Amino acid sequence: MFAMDEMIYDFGVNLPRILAGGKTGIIDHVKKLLIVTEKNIVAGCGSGYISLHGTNLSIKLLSEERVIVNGEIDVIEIFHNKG
Amino acid sequence: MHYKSILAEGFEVHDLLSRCLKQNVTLKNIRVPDNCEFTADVKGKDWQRFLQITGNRYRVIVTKEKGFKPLITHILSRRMTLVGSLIFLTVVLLQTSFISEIRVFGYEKLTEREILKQLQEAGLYVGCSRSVDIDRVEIKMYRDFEEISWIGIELKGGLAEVTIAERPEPVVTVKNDEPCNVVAIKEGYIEKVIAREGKTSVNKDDFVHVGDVVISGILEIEDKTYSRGKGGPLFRYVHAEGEVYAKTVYRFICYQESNALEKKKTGKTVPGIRVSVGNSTFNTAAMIVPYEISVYEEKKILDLLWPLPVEFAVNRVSELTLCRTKRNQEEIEKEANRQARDLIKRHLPESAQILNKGLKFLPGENIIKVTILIEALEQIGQKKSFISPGACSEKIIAGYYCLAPE
Repeated sequence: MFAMDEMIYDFGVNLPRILAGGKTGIIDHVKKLLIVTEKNIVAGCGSGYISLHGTNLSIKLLSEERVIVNGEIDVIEIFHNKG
Repeated sequence: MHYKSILAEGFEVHDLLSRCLKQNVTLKNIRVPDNCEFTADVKGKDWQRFLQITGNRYRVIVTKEKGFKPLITHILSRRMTLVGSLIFLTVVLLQTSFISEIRVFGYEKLTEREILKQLQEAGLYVGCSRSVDIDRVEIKMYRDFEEISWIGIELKGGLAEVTIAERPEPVVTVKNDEPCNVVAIKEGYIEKVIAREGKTSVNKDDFVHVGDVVISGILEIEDKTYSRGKGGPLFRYVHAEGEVYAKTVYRFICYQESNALEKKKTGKTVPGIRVSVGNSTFNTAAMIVPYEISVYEEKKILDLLWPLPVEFAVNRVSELTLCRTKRNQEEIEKEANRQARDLIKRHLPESAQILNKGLKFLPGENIIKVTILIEALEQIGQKKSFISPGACSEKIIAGYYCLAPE
C-alpha cells in the first residue's frame, strides 16, 4: 500500500470501512443506520454504505461512529454515492 | 458501571439508533427481533439523553438493571438478608474472640485437670476472651505453680495449646565409685537390714535417729598381713549399699466439731435465671437475695461453646435455717478414719506398709481433738557420702585405701 492510500484510509472519515473476522464485524465512520434487522444491517458512512447480510445479527456496541456487529456474517456489500 | 436493559417499542428503529449514534449515546447488545421493537443496554449516565431522544415516539420499558449501583441498591433493599449477614459476621467475629478449647501437652505427673484449674486461676479458661494477656498468664503460672519449670501458650484461633515441662525433683546421688554410708532418713525402730555392701551398724529393734549410720562404708581392715601405721587401725572405704526397713511412727493431730450444723430448708424460694456470654454473666440470684442464710441451686439448660460461649441456667435460692445437733461417736470415728486415710495418702510414701493405726479422741467444749498414730514399715536407708567435697578426693576412691576417717 502506498503512503497516499494509507493516509486516505486512515484519515478519510467519510469512507465506509469494515473489519470483519469470525463472527464479528467492526464498521467505522458510521453516520446513520438505515436498516437494522437480524438478517441485514445497513450503515451509512458519509460517502457510501456498508451492508451486512447474515443470520442472528446483533449490534454489540453502538458508540462514537463505530458499530460492532455480532453474528454469522455471510455477505458484505459496499455502495458508493454516485451523486 | 451502571447499565439499564431496555425494551423499546416504536416505528423506525434504525432512525432511533442513528440519532443515538449522532448524539453519542452508547448502546450495547442491541437486538432487533422485528421492525417495531428492539432490546439494548443503555449506560446509566446516558439514560436521560436516551429518554430525550426517544421522546413520545417510543415506549421504553426497563427490564433489568446491571452494575454495582443497582447491586448495592438490591442488597440494601433485602433487609432480612442484610441482617442475617450481619449476624453471621458478628458470630464469626465473636467466635474468633473467645477461647473455645484448651489442649495441654507435656504433663506426666500432674493431671490435666490440675493444670487447667491453675490456668483458670491465671486467667486462661474455656470461654475467656482471646485477647487475654498470655505473658501475664505465663508469669502467674510460674509464680503460683511450682511444679512446672516451663510453660508455653500458643493461640490458634479459638484453640489454646498449652505445653508444659514439669520440674524434676532434685535427687542427691552418690556416684557408684564413691565411698559412702547408708544413713537413716527417718526415725524408727529397725526391723530388717539387708546390707549388700558395707557393714551393718545397727541391730533389730534399735531406735535410729535421722542421719544415723545404718550401713557403714568404713570397714576396719582385720587382716594381719597388712601392716598397721602408727596412727591406729587401718580402714578401707566402700560404697555401702543395702535396704533398711524400720518401723516408723507418725503422729497427726486433727480436729472435729462436736456438733454438726444441720441445714434445713424453710420452704421459701426465689427462682431466677443466669445467662453467661463469654466473660459476662447476668444472674438474678446475685441481685436479689432476700434471705440471710440461703442455698443456691442451679440447673444448666443450655451450655454452648459454638457459635458463641453461651450458658443459660435456671436457679433457685432457698432459705435455710441452721440448727446444731450432737454428733454420735460412730460418725466422729468414721470422719477420723477418713482424715487418717487422707493424711496417710499425703504424708506416707506409697511403698510404706501400714502396720498399725490408733485413734485417740479428746473431747473439748465444742471441738474434739483427734490424735492419729500410725505405725508403718518402710525403707529408711539413703546413701550419704562421708567425704567433704574436695577433701582427699584424689586418694579416696572406693576400694582399698588406708586413711583414717576424720
